[in-house]
Amino acid sequence: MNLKKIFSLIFLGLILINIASDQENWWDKTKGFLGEHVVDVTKIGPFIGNFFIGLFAGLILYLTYLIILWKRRIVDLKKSNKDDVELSEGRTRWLNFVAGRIHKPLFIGIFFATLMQVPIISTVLKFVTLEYFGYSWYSRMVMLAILIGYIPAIIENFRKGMMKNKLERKVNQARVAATRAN
Amino acid sequence: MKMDKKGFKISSKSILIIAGVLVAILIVMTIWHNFCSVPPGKKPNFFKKILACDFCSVPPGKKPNFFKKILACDEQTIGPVDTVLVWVQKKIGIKKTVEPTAWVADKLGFNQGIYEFLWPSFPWGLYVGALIWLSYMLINLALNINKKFDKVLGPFKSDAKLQSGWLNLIGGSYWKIIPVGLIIAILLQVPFIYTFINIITFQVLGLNWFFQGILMAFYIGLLPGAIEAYTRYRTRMRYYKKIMEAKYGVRIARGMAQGG
Repeated sequence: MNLKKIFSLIFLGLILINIASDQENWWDKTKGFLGEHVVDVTKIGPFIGNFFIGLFAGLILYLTYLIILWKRRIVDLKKSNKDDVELSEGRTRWLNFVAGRIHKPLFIGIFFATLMQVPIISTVLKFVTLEYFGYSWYSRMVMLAILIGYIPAIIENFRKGMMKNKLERKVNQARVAATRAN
Repeated sequence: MKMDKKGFKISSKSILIIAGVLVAILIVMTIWHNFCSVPPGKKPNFFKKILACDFCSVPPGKKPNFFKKILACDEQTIGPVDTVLVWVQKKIGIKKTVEPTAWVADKLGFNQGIYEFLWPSFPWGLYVGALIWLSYMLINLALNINKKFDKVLGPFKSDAKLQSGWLNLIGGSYWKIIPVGLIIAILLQVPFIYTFINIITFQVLGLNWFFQGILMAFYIGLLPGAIEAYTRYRTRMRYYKKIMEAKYGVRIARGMAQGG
């Protein structure tokens, strides 16, 4: 007897025992029990909705990451050598961390939807994704993508720019000092 | 469905096993509830007794027997501090009296016995283990898809392998669901760890076990991997900074040598 048959038999047996245990209103009880202990039926709708918001936010970030990557591979590689392009790949590193793989949007979705079930945290999340200001689901999706992907990526780029400026200034100072000495 | 030549397989058998375990847990819970609801004025039947529904109900004036003691059904004795505090509450006029130290001890997890180990700690641990195993399969599937993409993407080959050894360790195979479940159930027996797990899975805020399980799976399965990935990201950033400094260092040296 294979596993499939064993599980089918167990499943059927359990259902039969369940029905036999309380013939009159076993289904009502089961539904009540599910609502009370397993998953509140009223919470499943919002969970799925929030899951899709998180999923699409992750997919937006993943697509952005892919577009940047492809652009670099197709356009930039023709212009400069491989080392320079690989170095500049650092620009998408935050996006790589958040949504660099196809499974990451899925986890973003599940995690976001789960956190939206927690009372106080959901209030904070609703506030930061501007749900309280009447934002619809697609706007919240974009908002979430901006919050977890774009803003940190912009900050990262800004920091890199600052660093480059600082180093550039040092080069200039060295040149000026050398000119004066000459 | 074979995923990889190196040995990772998602066989229909394993999917069947995990689906069966989840369905069985759900059904056992349902039956448990149906069996355990004894109508007022009626005695529990044979099955209800087997399922320990009334094992813990010690009639007033009687002491718990051997089995009840094993199942941690001891009548709750009120300590001296609680006795005084309950007396104070009664004097004030509070109808629903609370035993504060007993309540705190309960919340800290001091009342976890073998009964709580069998239900609900262990099935919940199995559920968490199953979620971790499912995430492992999902990530492997995604990485295999990425491998195929790499041929198209050209010179920037992504490191398409499961970088986190941790997830592989605790969720690499379906039999690991059982040890994970056992470890979680054992941890839930330890007083302060019990409270800690309840806090981090937001039980205190009213989250039910279904979502708590997702959070717990995230914490013990994916968070170490995420921290690993974040550490890698930080190292890369530092590496990038060093390269830039070296690059500009050469330019500074050249500028100083040439001038203007």
